[in-house]
Amino acid sequence: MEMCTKAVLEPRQCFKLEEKAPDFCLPAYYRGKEIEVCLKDFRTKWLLLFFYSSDFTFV
Amino acid sequence: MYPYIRSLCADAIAISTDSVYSHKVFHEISPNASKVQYPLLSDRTGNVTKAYGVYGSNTGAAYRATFIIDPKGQIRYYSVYPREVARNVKEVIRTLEGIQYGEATGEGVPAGWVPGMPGIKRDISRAGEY
Repeated sequence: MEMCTKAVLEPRQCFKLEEKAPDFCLPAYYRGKEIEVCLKDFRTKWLLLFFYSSDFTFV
Repeated sequence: MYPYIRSLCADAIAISTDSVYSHKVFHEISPNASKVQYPLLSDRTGNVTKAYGVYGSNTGAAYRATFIIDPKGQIRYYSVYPREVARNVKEVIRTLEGIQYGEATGEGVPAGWVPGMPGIKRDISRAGEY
C-alpha cells in the first residue's frame, strides 16, 4: 500500500506503509532538561510522531 | 491525554526545527505547550524532517505531519494537515487504537469506529453488508 501527497511532500514524495521509519537521534527538551531522544528508544512501543512548524504557533 | 497514550503501549514526541532553548521557553510560557508532557525534539539541520519528507524548503520549517510508528519501527500511518488547520489528536489516537484492534482481531474497523464497537470481518462473502 502506498500513500502519496505529491503537492506538499519533498524531497521524497511517497512513503510505503510498513516501510521502516528513518532513524534519528536528536537533542530534546524534556521536563526541564536537555536530553537526547532516538527512534530506537521506542522499539517495543508504538510511537506518535508529531512534526510542527514552529514554537509559539498553534500546533 | 498523554497518560491515555501511554496506556496504549505508546509514546509521543514532537519535532520542529526550533532550538532546544526555544522549546524550553515555549514550554514555559505557552498555555498549550506547558501541558505537553512528552519530549520536544530539535531538528536544527532539518535533516530528520527531510528524511520524513515533510520539510518546507521555503520556510525551513516542518509541515504539520503526523506519523504512527509501530513497535518494529514501521510507519503504519501518516498525514499532513494544512497550514491553516491544527490537528485532532483524538483522531490520531483513534487511528492507533484501530490499528491495534485490527492486529489483535484480524478485523477491520468501520467508519466512525471507536473502541468498544465491533470490527468488520474481512470476508468477500460479506461484502455489501456495511
